[in-house]
Amino acid sequence: MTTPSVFRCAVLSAVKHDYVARGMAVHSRFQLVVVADDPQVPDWAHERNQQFANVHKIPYVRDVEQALREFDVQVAIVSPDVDRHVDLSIRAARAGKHVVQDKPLATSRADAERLLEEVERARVKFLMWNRNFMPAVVHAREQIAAGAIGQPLAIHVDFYFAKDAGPPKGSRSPGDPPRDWHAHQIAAHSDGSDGGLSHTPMGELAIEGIYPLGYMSLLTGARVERVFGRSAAFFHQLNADNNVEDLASLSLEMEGGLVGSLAIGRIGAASHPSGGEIKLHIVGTEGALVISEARPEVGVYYRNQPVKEHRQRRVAGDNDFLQADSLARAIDTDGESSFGIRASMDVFATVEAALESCRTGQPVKVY
Amino acid sequence: MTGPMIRLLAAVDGPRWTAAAARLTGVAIETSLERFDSCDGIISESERESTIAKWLSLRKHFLHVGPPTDAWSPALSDLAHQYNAQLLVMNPDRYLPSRQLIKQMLPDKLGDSGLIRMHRWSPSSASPLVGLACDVDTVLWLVGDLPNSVYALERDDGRFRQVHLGFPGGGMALIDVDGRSPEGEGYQSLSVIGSSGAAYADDHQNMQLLYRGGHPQAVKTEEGTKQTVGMLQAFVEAIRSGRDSSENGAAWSNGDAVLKAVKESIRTRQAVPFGGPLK
Repeated sequence: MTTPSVFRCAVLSAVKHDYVARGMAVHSRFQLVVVADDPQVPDWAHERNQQFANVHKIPYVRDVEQALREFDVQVAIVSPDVDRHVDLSIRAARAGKHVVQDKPLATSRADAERLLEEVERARVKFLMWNRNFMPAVVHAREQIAAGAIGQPLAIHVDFYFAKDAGPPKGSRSPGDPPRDWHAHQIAAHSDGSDGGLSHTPMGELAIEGIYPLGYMSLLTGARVERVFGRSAAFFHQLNADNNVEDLASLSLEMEGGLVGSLAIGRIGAASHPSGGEIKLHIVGTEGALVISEARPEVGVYYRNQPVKEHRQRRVAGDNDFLQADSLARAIDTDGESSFGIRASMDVFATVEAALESCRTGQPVKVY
Repeated sequence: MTGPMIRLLAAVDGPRWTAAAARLTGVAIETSLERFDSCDGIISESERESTIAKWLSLRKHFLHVGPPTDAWSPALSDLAHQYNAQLLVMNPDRYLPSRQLIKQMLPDKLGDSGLIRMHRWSPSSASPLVGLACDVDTVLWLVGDLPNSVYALERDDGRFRQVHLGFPGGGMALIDVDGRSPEGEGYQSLSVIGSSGAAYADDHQNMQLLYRGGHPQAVKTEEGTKQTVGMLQAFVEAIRSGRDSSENGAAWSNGDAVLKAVKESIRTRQAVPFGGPLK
């Protein structure tokens, strides 16, 4: 069976990270043709969907099934509030559409397993949005594949976002109500830091864990078997009020005797001049790599530069195109995308075990 | 503080200590054992406990550079006190200018320590355990507190260890010490994520490029003589002031207790609650 030269895409809600849909659209084989959402979503969600549709000059349909049925789409790009990820992805899969989904996979084990089952039953392709094609990560993968460090023995990732999440911890006055998670995330859309947009509060491990854990999986080919974690609501009143971490560290035991570690956090805008330190350390039998994920970059400094503007600008990024390309190849060849449903489930299971370890203070088996 | 000339015998690495002494007033370094009698103290990196005891009983001050092997014990500490001699065991990493700067920034600029991350890779000929003792000491020094939880992993008969510490108040530390690197220079990195800022001291940032055809080589710009000057200055000041050095011993006791918990965690594969050194 031949596949279309251009895949028509329905954007199933663009209320959170519209960069997923925009990212897919940079590839010439993916064309955004409609935005759709359920009629009962709140007005602010309809407004965001309509704005996205207007920018891309495509219709906005307040009926998901109708859009999937009537616009001849092959791919659904799913980026609603997190609580609805699984619902929209399953509805798309049941309609026979390939799914590109924003992170995280799900908010519960039951939902994650249901999504896995439905995607595999429908035999559609699944791509979890990720950062595995950042230039420095691709470079690291090439070095390892070429045997530059031998067989990987250990991998350590620092993944810090130098962003704030509202006022600092300790700033709530006596008698003030706790900060509302959902309301904060809605407001955070303006600067793109609304990855945790959901009614269920989520910490950094759940929201961003896929990125560093994705690097580990990509660069070692090993799954995490056992995890020990520590976490804290250390920086932000929002996290403290909602009892979710903004800082965490993990020790990982991986297949084949590999050891990993992860330091992750939303550590405040003041902590880095260019968005946050993201670093990979990979030790092998023959050598080691120290990789700055931000490179290549250009230093840009000028008079009256806004405080929040990054001093080191990332350049030559091709992550969007290469992710989209991996999905196109997966569809063409009936293969696996660069971050399929099974890989996504592995990350979910690792994060779930890590959070349990943080609660119990003891290591937890993932598999 | 200045005073009479202090003469020290450097039993190891004489040129380095001599160069450092040249930056200070009233300090002279001898490198020949024949000058032992005329010296006020000895600087060494490895001595037996019995030798140190003998020197202390001769009222010679003693500086051990590196984590204590036989260089510190309650008995030696008592002996030093009895003979009014200084017995100091110094973690050289504390005196690196980069680590000194970070320590100065805590807590006023960086806030409370939230996550300290250290990497130390060395060739297989180096003992990773020595590095781990230094790194644990550095973490405790920076945090200014003892952990309440210790978890650790080990691979390749101890050539790799990863230590995961939890502190009261939610702070944490991750240390990996990897002695499986090929022969050559090692690698160190320290990052401190604080409640109001962060500091990153990483060999990666201090690499220069050397072009000689093919791929360029990375060449590290080292932190220079100030590390040695700092250690020497602290030793000389301790001698001149005659201050109580029990704090120094207590720091190593704390570190030693953490390392014992590390071994226990590796043995049991569980996190070990930590209550401090046994009294």
